[in-house]
Amino acid sequence: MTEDSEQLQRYLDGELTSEQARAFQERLALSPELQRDLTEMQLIGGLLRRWADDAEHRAGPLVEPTLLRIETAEQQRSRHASLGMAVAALLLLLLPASGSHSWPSRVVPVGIDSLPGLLPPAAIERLEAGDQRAQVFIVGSASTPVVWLADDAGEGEDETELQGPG
Amino acid sequence: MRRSFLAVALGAASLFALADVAAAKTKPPPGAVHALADAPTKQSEKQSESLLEVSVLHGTTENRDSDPRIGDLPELREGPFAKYKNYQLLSRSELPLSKGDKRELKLPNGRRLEARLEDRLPDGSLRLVASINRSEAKDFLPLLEVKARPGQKFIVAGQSYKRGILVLVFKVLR
Repeated sequence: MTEDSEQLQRYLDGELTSEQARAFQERLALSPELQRDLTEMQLIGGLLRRWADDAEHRAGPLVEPTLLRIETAEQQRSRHASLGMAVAALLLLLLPASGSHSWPSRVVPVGIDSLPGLLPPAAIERLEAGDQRAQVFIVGSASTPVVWLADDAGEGEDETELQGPG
Repeated sequence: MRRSFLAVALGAASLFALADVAAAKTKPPPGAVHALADAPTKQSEKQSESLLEVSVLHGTTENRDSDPRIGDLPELREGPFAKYKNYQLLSRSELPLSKGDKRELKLPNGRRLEARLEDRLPDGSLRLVASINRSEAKDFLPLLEVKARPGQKFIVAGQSYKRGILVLVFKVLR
């Protein structure tokens, strides 16, 4: 922000002392550029105020229903949480209560292999491609790693054609 | 939000605890375990081997249906694989791998695939090493080291073969 525009802003906001305002008005009278800037700022200020009024007018009817929806969602979440805790408590009660039972020291995940999304995908740890041009990328939802080696000398071929990945 | 998370966490912990109790009930008594350790059988040795399935596919731009024996491989519909309109299964082999052993597979283009099990990691994954080479010629793929779990795949593709490409799909079976 330049010094002029800062002064203009303070003038419009009424933040200048009477002496400063008088001096600024003298400058304004002598500078068409400053007058142009002042007019622009007044126009923008007017537009902003009109927009703000309009937004408030349009948003007004939306506030109450939105607040109501938020409140309803909170209540539902609270009910689900209570139900979840009740189920957890019931499951805990179903565990056999014997003197020898102790909390397991090692948690054994059930069917971990059926939850592929939780396991890291296969990964290429080292690659030496020799003189070949190699590209490494992953494909598919399982993030399958691929090594693509451009082969410019296939064996038993009728033609030698670079089969790059494109 | 916090209460929901706590409820889910408690529920999950309960499930795990139940599973552990169920597992404990099916464990053999201590005596039986010692007996197995004293007399390892051929079956238990075989079961401890890893198994790597290698499918050799031929991809071309010919307009025909892909080989249904390939099964569901959505990877072949993505990226550079999608450039080839059809894939045919040339061979499918299962290579049993033990630490220290290496297995070889002859490829249709005259090259040789070598695979070996480098290590079995504590998290259940395997460290596998593969290479593709030719005798009396420079290695095509001197070294590829991959970490993968049973059920996971990795692919080596791009070798030219009969107006198309070879795609080697490695899948860890166990």
